Amino acid sequence: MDDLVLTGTAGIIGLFFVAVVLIYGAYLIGGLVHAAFVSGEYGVILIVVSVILIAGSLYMATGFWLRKTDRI
Amino acid sequence: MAHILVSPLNWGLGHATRDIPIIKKLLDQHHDVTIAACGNALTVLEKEFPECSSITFPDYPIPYSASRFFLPKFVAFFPLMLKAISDERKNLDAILAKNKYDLIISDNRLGVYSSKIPSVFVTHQLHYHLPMFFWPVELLAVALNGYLHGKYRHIIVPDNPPGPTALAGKLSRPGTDETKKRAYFSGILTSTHRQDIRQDLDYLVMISGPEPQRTRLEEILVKQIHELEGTSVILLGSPRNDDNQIQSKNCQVMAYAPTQEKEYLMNRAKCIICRSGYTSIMEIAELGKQHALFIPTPGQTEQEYLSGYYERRGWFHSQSQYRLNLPEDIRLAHHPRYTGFPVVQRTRENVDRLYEHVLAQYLA
Repeated sequence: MDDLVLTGTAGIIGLFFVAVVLIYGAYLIGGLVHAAFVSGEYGVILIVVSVILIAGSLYMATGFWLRKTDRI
Repeated sequence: MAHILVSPLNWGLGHATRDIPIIKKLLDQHHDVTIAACGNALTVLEKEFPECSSITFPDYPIPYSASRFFLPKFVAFFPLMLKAISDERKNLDAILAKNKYDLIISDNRLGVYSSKIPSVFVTHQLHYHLPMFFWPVELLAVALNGYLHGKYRHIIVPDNPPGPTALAGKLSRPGTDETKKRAYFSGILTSTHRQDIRQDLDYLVMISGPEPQRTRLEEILVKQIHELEGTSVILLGSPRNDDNQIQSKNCQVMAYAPTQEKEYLMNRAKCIICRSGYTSIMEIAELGKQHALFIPTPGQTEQEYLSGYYERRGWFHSQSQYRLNLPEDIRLAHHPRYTGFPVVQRTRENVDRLYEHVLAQYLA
């Protein structure tokens, strides 16, 4: 197979894999939050939400920094 | 005398039309040119260069979307694109087996290169702009572009070098060493010429681009154009529409204008209202127009980036088609804070330099 096509195929498989991992991660976190809600462990919910917010903020801050410094 | 294969992408006519000055230069230097393209791109070049041989060479499906959400549809198109590139590679092998070529010029056709024949790639997008949320994908695309550019001897960028006069902003900024060492900034390349005529048309509206957004913009602009004082011409950019019609005393609506008539109208216009596609940008730069209003195609990240970039640079006013208020936006477009593009070298000098610095070395 042509190496350009091979690289493209590997890229699509990689994207698909990342999408599956993200969806599975969301499913696991959703399950954790649901279980914590049912058992009344609201502290766990608070921790999970805080971690998600911090991770999301860091992700967006990285994007802002890359834009600001003309890297992207 | 050398034999060159020129292959532009058929996503709109922009790729084919910017190759016209290159092909003209090659023919002026007594080389043979074979055009390998499909659809309207092939038709335009066959019409322009009847003396050249041509080959129907299919390219890729266009992932244009009816909605704002161009990107998800584009991602879903990846497998189809890959299949098309795979077919393109096979078709190219068949083309190269039939004839001897000294140089391949690919205009944005990712699979048109050869390890045996010097190949050059024409693109103004060394860097893809995506919404900030997708920054990892944008970084990945920079690396992928570097890999792709490694297949070519030169990457011809129809823009000024990166810096304050770069018309494509970050889009034409090389992101990897592979790209940097191959990039040749030719300056703008357009088939539109500046004419020494009086500017007696107040507004030229050029509606173009993929459907259904072309029709949506047509509906918006035809409704609002009467609110402007002065003479105007609207080019609907749709040859299938009815014949030319007079909308009112001051406004003429034309379904379609042939290239020469469009060039004449552009030269006559004091202000141009159009999409912020890079082909139109180069035409406006070539003509040295001071006033224009850009309306990016919704969801097309390249056009949205360019509009924002021109606003930030203070070159031209831009407005989304969803928020367009023609009288107000035209008033803003004429505000002194918008200076128009900086003075750039014209296509004629650019293509001479491109030939001398890059192409001639392969065409001995």
